[in-house]
Amino acid sequence: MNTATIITFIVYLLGMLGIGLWTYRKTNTISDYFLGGRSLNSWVAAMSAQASDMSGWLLLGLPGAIYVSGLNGMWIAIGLAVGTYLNWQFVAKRLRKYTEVVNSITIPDYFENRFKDSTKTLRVISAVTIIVFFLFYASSGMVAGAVLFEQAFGIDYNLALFIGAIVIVSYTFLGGFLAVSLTDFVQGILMLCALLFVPALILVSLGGLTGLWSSIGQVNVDLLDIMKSVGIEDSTWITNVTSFSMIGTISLLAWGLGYFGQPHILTRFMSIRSVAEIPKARLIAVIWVVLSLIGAGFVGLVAITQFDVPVENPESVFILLVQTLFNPWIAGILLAAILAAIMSTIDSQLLVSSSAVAEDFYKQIFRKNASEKELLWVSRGSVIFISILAVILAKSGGNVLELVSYAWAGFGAAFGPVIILSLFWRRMTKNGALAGILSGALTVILWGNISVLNSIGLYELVPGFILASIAIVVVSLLDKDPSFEIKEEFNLAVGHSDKLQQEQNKSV
Amino acid sequence: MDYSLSVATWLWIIIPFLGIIGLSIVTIFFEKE
Repeated sequence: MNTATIITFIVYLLGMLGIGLWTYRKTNTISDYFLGGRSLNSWVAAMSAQASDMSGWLLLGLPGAIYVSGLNGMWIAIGLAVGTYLNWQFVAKRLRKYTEVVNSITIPDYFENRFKDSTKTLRVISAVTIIVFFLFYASSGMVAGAVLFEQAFGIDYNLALFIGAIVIVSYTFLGGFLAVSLTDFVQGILMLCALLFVPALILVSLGGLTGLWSSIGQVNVDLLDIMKSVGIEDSTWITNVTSFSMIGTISLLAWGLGYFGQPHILTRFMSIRSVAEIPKARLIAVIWVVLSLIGAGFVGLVAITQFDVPVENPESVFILLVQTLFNPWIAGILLAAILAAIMSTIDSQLLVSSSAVAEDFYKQIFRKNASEKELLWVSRGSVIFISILAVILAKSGGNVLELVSYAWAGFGAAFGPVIILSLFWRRMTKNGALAGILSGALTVILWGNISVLNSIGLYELVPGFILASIAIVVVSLLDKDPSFEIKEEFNLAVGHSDKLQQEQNKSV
Repeated sequence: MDYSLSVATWLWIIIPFLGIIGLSIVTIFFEKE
């Protein structure tokens, strides 16, 4: 690797560690460690939610997909953008308010307190779901990072894995949520700048959009049609006439459904300073996501025009463009953006997993009277423990995209419908929530293993989400009405506090 | 030969992206705490 690129990387990594040290002094309680003491302003909350959401997929996977299939690859980007907006519009505010009303700092905590579940079943099942899925999710990110740096710079896989893990664990261990959010903020800016700068520069050299469309049209005109599916065969782009299908498009768009159940994104909503900051945060988040998805799309499109022979690994087009077209100092910064995308997702996932261990297991089940200081150190210990497990899993390798898609569907189906309905439906019950989590998770797990269902080609998140929603509604309606206290809290949290009083008066 | 995007492709991409930005701007003015 070039010396200039190495220096840029080291400066970037030291900057992230500096944020960890600085926030260490501001982190005194477990609420500070897991929610930053609910102190994020709209800019940090918005950028942190988006950077945590978008992993290395944004700079590698999406440009790769568009490089291969042209504008048809934008369906997934459209699904994700719309999902991001709907999550900020309908979930953010109510979740922020509700978790404060029922005094909850984690998602399992919220489920237990929302439904007044004294049996701890909801907490344990949701905490186990979080630990298992995030372990695979975080380790898949580590594999992605290590493999890419091995391929791009010739660093030994294990060394790359080790260095990356040490930096992420250090700042997450020290500064907890504040460190993760502030590093996410910096990383989010870096990702967006890289995604706008790289295609913009190439676009100018091609003579703007007209030049780009013409250059791509000469390769294969169907790359410019969102309804046509194109693929690379024998080093040529060939239109795949039979492959456009409604099911395929629905599956791509359906990725957006996953947002409502991702704990590492939902905790950003819970941590925002006040509900009044949410509309501004939503606008910032939506503009960031639209610009970065369009930027990533253009990276894929301009790449079609830049190489004489289609590249062997389409997911490396961003790296190849940067390495061929930019001087080593700029290339160092642009490539650090990939690391930023990977790290900003893993750190948030590590933190949510450690909250499940410390808050949902240790405090609730083993040490009810544990002091704040004790919990803080158990949380820090959990970050290291989970990281070691993730690194061990990552060392054995694995298919990154498959794991991410599986974990995304798992969370989306298991938690998504429960989160939405718990915030909008007062009649929902504890057993309804339990039925929703179990049926959502089981559908996702079983769908891929039943060959008849698998052959349909539908993303398992779709049936998982639908079945979980049905299970919640049916079981809740069969269950007895929630208690007065639960209903009162619901009305307080969603701003209908007068409504219950009126109903009471009516019934009297 | 010149190529360009079809109107349908432009609309499929532009409407969702501009739509969510537009809705986010509009709701800032309507959501008062």
